[in-house]
Amino acid sequence: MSESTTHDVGHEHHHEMSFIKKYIFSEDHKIIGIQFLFTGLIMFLVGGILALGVRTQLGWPGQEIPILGKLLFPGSQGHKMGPDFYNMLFTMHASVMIFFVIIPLLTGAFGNFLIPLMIGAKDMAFPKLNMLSYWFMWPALITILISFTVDGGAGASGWTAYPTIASSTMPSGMGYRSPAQPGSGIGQILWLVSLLFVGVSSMAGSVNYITTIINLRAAGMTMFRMPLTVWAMFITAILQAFALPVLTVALSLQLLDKTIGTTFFLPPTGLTFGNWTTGPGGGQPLLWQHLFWFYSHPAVYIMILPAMGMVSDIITVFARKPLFGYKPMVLAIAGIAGLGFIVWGHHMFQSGMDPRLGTGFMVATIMIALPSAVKTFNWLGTLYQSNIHFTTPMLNALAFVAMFVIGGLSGIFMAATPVDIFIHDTYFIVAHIHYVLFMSSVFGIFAGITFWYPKMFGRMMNERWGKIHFAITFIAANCTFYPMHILGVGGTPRRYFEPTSFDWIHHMQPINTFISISAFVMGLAQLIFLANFFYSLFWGPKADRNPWKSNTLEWTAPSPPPHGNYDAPPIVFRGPYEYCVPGMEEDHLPQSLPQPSGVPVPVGH
Amino acid sequence: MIKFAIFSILTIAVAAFGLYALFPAALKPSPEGGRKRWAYLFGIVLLLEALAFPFAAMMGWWLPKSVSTFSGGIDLLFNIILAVTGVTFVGVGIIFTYVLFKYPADPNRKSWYTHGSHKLEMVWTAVPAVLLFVLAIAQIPAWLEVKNMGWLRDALQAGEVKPENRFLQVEITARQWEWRMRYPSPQHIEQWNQDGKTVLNDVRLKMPARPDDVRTVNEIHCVKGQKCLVHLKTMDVIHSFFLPQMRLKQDALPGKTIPVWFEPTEANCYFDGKEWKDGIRLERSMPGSDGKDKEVWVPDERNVWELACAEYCGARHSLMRGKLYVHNTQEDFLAWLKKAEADNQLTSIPQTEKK
Repeated sequence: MSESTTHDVGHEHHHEMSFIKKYIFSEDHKIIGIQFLFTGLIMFLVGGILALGVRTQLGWPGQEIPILGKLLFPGSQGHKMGPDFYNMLFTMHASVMIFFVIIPLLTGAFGNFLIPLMIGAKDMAFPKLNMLSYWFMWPALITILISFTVDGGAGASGWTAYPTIASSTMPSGMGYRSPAQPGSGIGQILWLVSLLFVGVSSMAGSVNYITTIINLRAAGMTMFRMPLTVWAMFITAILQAFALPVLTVALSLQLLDKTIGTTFFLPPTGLTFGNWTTGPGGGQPLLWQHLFWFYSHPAVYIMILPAMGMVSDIITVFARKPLFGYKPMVLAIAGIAGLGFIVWGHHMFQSGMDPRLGTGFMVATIMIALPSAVKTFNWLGTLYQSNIHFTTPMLNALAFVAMFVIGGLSGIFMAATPVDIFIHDTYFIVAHIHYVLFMSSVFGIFAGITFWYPKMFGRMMNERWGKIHFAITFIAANCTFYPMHILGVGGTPRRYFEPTSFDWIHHMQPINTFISISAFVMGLAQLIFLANFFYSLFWGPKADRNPWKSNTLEWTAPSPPPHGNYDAPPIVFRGPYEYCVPGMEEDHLPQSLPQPSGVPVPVGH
Repeated sequence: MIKFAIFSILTIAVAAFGLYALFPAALKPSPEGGRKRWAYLFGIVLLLEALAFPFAAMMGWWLPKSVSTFSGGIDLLFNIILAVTGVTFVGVGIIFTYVLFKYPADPNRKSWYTHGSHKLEMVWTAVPAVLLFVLAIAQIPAWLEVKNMGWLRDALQAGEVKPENRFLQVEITARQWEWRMRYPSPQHIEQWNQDGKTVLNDVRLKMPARPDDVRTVNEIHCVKGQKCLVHLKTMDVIHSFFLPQMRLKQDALPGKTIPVWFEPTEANCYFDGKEWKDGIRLERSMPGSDGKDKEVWVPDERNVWELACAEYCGARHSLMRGKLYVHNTQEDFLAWLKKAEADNQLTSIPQTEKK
């Protein structure tokens, strides 16, 4: 492991730093991780409020909105939400949650904080690049927040931004307004710019993660002694590095279409909007879908693999048992990531793509259920004959496992092309993505935050309020997202402003009202989490180095770890999951502890 | 309303029981008191979710009526997958809950020290692999039947259409936010019936416009037991042609004409003397006194069939509603077409009208 000596020396001089250098423009991976964490949590609040706006309309369509309605929709609109506003809400909900919450929290916050600590490095391989990665989030954040105030409002063509509703433009000289809808004007341009910035941030991060994991592991930390969190982050970073350029290309092409009048997504026949027509183009709207999903399908795995890794680690700690099937787990992550590159077409079964191509994508998609199943079985194997401590992080991790099963199984319905003809673009899809992204990724994030909180801030979170938050969120989230499957089986299309406009779905409106009530309960419960988070920051009980009695390297550093992380460079003797080793008094055997006498070394570790 | 009341009461009961089961444990951190209650919480939630599907089916919150030749196959596949995933879900749920119930932390017990089992890994990789692969291969024919249109390829290859295989062609153009239909005139249909070559030529050329075409807005008409071939287009953004009762969905792509077909197996409209009414079901035909078959129609709200847009297309996306009228016989259809042709000559639809 060739450690870069230059940045070692650099750290020695960091002891006396100004506040700004230490906490704002910091090059320390831990501070950057925490910066990502705070940014992500604030945006989580924004995204959540947007979602509640969507639920307000769907639960009580066409009703006056109390209090807020008077502010947002003055007299002329009758204090009611209009369709353009609603379309902006669901678009920005998804965009914010995906690009500003889940990805930055999982890869940005946890990736930055955990990777060097878990592999025994003093910092990232490229600390300056790391700082750059965080600060590229800010132009992105500012652009997306400004886009709410521009003429026509923020982007409103769905987070997928399909041409031609997103990309079509007025003839030259008529400004940036869109003929398709108000939100596809300047709002859409800012949306594209913002995502480009996010892309730079993610790319800088993933290059850094890959280099760090390959080059900076502590002595004795072989690849197959790395905790699964690090494995997941490693594979995620590879996914990101290979998929992201394609998104960048797609975003740039659409940006050119929208600003300087290229026609990458405008078909040769041109388009007719009401009284005027665009000129002939030379492009293809379907091109966007291929480019977009070539990134965005792997992105789905970018949004779940790190959570899978963290959950695997958390479960072993609180089950006090070695991980069942370490290598199959690693292979399953790699398998999901590998297959993830050849299944993007399953978003496009009904798009007009050649149907024979669909069969290939279908087989690949169905096979992706296999590594997912292997992971679930191994988690169950880990829990079998263990000693489960029901702490807050463990409960959230268990929720991940249980809910991921639902998200995985519902995926088989839409992978099956004939069934997809019916459930494509219905609430079944909405249920599925929320079971994967909320019920799995977000519970994974909760588990991660509550688990590593003592290491991040040196204080413990409140267990009682943590459990209350978990219980309410778990029940309310299931009440929110599970009934969406039923709406989908009934055939309710997604992105509908008026859920009652069709005869074959309007009898299911009570389900929508029920979902909205649950969503509000769930939203309110997050205040408990925030209160617990910020209260514990100042008044939580002080944490010692290893409050959960875990094996991995980060717990041998002080809480919170100083610059340079460890008292002395750690040496790794074994894999990360040696719990309840026979012949030992203690029920855990940390990675950096020399082999105690009388305890046999397990084969292969 | 009663259904909703039952639904609400059940939910509240469940939530209350969940909270009762939970909170003593949450509020009392003693390891003894309520350590099994988290297993109850997970178990109850998973159980209710397993029961939600049969419950929804009972309440009528289920797949809409299925009335095309391929919709039965799609529903069958849906049900097979529901059964397979349902069994898996229940199995995993039981094991998961059992494990949580059985192994809460106990200071007197040590965890089983194991790093896994090669044999088990092989089993739980191979078994689902085979199952999934079979599932994947078995559905290919149903998919190709709907989207690949073997019957049309065969006809094009053979260069003729047999009288029993005659089909209807319609051009449907989506725009913000309505569906515009273009039918051949009754005379042109007559020409089709005379000569299979003309039909196939029209298929190849995607139904070139003729001055005598009949145009309607937001209404598709077709005939029971006859294939309806739609040449799907859009003028502005992507829309999606969604006929839930036919189990048919296809995006309309700007710049492309996409062929899509369905064959209804039931009629849903009749002529009441003034206009064509849907929401009606043919109960039976019986021989009448004058020697002709007498049709008995009964109102049926499940026979209002709609055309929806399923791909987000802007402000009035959710109001892009069309209706599907399936006529009982070719004669009924032609009667409607003649009436529509006459109406067309009275009021030509302006091409550039903006809603």
